[in-house]
Amino acid sequence: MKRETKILFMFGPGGVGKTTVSASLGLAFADEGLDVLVVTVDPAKRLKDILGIEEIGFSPVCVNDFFKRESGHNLLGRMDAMMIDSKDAFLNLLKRYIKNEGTINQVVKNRIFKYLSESMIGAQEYLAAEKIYDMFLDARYDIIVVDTAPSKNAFEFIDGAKKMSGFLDKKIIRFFIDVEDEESIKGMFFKRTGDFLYKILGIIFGAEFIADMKGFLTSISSMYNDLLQRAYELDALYLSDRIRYFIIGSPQKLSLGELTHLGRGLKERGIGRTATIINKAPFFYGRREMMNTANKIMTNCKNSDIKVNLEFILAVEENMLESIERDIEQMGELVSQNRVVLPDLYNDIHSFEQLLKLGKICRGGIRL
Amino acid sequence: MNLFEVIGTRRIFFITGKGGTGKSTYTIALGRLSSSRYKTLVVDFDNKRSTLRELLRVNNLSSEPQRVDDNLYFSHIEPDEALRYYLRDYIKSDFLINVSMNLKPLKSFYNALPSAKEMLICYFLMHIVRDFDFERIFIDMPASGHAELFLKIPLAAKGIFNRGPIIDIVHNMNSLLYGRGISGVIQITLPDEVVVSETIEFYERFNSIDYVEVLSIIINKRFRITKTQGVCEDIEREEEIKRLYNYYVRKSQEEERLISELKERTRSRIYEIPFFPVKTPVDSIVSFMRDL
Repeated sequence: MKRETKILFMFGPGGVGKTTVSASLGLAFADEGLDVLVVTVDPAKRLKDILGIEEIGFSPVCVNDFFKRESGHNLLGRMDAMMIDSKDAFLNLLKRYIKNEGTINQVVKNRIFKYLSESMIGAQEYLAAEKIYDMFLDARYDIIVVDTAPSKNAFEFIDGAKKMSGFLDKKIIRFFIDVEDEESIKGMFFKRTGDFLYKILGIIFGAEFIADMKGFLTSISSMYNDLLQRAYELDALYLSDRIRYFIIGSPQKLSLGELTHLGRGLKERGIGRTATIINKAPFFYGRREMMNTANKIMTNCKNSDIKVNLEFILAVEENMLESIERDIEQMGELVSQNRVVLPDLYNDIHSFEQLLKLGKICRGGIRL
Repeated sequence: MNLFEVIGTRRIFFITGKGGTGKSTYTIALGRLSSSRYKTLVVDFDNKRSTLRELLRVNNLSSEPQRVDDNLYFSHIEPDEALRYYLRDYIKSDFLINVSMNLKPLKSFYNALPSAKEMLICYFLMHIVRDFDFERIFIDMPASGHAELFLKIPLAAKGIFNRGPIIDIVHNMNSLLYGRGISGVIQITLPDEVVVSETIEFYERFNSIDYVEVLSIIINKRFRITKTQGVCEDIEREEEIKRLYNYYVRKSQEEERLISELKERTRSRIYEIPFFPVKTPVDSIVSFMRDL
């Protein structure tokens, strides 16, 4: 059955609990009867740890049975989990367009390919997005939750498609591969700039590298048009209402200022529909009166050791509370629209029940 | 053991850690500490936004070092500036450099080519190392995964370019930035299970690069809960406060366990810095580190 798949992107700095929130939100949706895929792009194996499932690999693994075994609870819908590895994603991409095994081997052996798929900064996100787009077109899921790598890469994710289409732009490609140029004035103009560009690139990267690049681009030339088409489609998808963006932060790990930066960046890219998830809110968030009670207890405490401890605890909590209030105020309208504050369960989340509980709180606070 | 002993060993320090552990705070704190003895530079190269600038309260960003305190300088390397600087070494005419910088295909190519920006940043760093007389340089690195790619640039470049200008640069990079006894990594971590296990993982990965050495690990935000006898009855009566108190007691015990695991599995010097519940903890951290 074809679904109208929605993609939920989770952006945020490292260590704020993106993977935990993604997994728990996924479980909450699945518990409502929806079919969900949770994808992690983070190279760290957090999703495996959080769900406690070793079997999660580069293709979707159903979580329902594990969930049932651990918690005794039957999820109404289906939840799958998977990781994305850029090398694997690259290979998949090639296989889709190039049917000839020999050509694929040739590409894989190319040094440029190795470089692109191993030591890249930025291209990883594009390849991940490509794979997610596959899942989206498949329309097997109602919801795809994407747990992205830490925040600097967030924009790489969105800009990846533009960069890729920029890279694959015919104007550039034609400098690299032999295009049968029409003898027009326009063609001659391109030839001139082309020679100059070729020279500059040679100066920067070395002539040999440019020659290698030419070889690589020629060997995959049959897929340019498709790739370019996909990059345009992806770019358009980012702005459509099929994607929801969530920015996650946590006052315990980091000043929430990073979130303002993320929110602005998304806005600059024309993405307005964001929601903010503040994870692991301080203990006294939204209940300052309790903090006063605690302060009174501390002042009157007769056990001097406990008193010192409590004084320190309250100072730490106060510090976090102030920082979250200050940041929320600074973020202003960026977060006032659609905001979820998740409590710190003050207990490491290891069980499925805890995850589902957290997911339900989160689910209750967001609109799709 | 004094942190000066670590600062005294090398000239260049790469400050790394998972996002949110306090890399920028410690880049500045170490820079401040070092500047009482050495002419010191702190560097970052985060896109557009400079956390160091915010912490140092500097108005202008410039790639060339600017003075921020007696003996402390700051540089924020912009990839575009680095590209311009690089081109200057090969193209003598300013006019042609400007034309090249404005060539759209060149921009898209260099934006799309992975690691190109990082290589250029490395190139600019070499210029700073070579052309200025800084005795100590502290570099605020991106989060761990990206930091690893950054440290591996010489390896990546060797794999892809076997001749040409880049290889000469890599050669210089090895002797100026990464050579033995020249630089080292300082990892910043938090007493948190996930963060500590990532720290151990990256400790191993960094050390497995043959020209990289992790010099020390700084544990930021240690909680100070003393072992207590007896109870406080008021706490016992308030269910929620009791939950909070017990959470911190447990967390503090958990930290002890994590730190001994860290000590067992790594061989670098480990420094524990307490949690300072103040708005800007840099000053407290500097004076704490000075007295270590």
